[in-house]
Amino acid sequence: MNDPISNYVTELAATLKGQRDATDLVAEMEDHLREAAESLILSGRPVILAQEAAIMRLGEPQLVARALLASRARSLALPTRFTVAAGWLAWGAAAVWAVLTLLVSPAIIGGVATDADLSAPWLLSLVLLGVALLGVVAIGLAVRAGGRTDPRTIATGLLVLLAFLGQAAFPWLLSLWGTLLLTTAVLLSARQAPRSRAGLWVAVVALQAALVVTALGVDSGLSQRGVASLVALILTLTIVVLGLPATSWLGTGPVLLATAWPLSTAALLGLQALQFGDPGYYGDYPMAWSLSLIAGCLLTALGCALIGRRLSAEKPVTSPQSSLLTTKRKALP
Amino acid sequence: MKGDTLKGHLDLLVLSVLADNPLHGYAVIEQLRERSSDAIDVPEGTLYPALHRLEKAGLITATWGVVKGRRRKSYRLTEAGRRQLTEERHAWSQVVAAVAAVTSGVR
Repeated sequence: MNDPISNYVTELAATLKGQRDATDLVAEMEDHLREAAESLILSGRPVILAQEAAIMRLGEPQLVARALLASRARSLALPTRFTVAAGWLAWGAAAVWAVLTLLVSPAIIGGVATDADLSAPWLLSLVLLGVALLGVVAIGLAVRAGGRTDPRTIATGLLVLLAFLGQAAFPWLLSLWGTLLLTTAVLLSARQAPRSRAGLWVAVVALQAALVVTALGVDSGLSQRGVASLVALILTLTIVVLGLPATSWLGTGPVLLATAWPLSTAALLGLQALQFGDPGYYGDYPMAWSLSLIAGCLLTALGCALIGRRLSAEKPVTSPQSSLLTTKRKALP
Repeated sequence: MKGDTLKGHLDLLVLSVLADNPLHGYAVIEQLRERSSDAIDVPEGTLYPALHRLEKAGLITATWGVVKGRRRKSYRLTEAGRRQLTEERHAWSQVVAAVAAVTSGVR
């Protein structure tokens, strides 16, 4: 059985895994803890109690790790009870988007889903529920990355509200609101210790460009859609190929969420350009619309499930501020 | 001593205790306690970010050694750090004198 300090060091190492100089940081903290414990043992304290007291004085490993990384202008994901709850809601979001995947498929709806279908109250209600749950997940990611009162968390909340209201008012622009919501969530949680500044900026630029292209693609005439489709596809591939390996914060779940609607838009534009299926009343191709919605909903459901699995399994850190900001030595056990 | 009182002065305190000898992190904390008769009790989790920030700023430098079979990082003042310490000591003494002058008549 390991002693308390060994357990602490193992947890700290796991928290700092992948960070530059992680080995040195862990070694320095272990030396500190063992030195502090030895000092207490010399004063007559039993070994285990001395080690536990030394750990209590230093602080929880996640907090210590975040403080160490903050001195490098980086940050670290810090789970709280809210982010764990957001993880469970992400499972709910995954279920809603999975249901939507089925509902927008041609086999379920008589014919195919069209932009007019999205305005139907029953379907719009479900989409709004899905967007609302996604919004909570986005806020959860932001809280996990920077805390509740961080300006970027507040910005995430405002953008989530905007996306929700936009979806309610203009349901046929689902891909635009989805992209706005999800790229925002991913970008604002990018403080989770990027390994490479260059990689971070590649992802930031690509994601923002994907948002612009999605907006362009949704609102463009058919003659522009071939070009927009190509650009959207290239940008999405840029995110995946260049951004993913260069950053540690961009896990598979957030990547799926961030790329779901740009990919969906690219699929829509590409299929429209190929004149896929029978032409519709407005001169567009409803089957292309339906297939792109399926792609967007399915990728969103998968992304939510992956994020839900990660966030809901984390152990929340309690009182994230108190143990670092107090100067009073805590009562020894 | 309250945290707010120490806020903004941690760098001066750390540079001061490193002025005489190289010290590792825990020894810095012990020195702060001893020299202040336990009045200054820096939250231990906040010391290392401060040390690393000072190291990055070139005010202190660090070396690794092995003590008791463990890797140990020790910090010492650089010339730039010594100059900074002199400036901060001067600034602090001015603050102390000014506050004392204002509060000396207070009963």
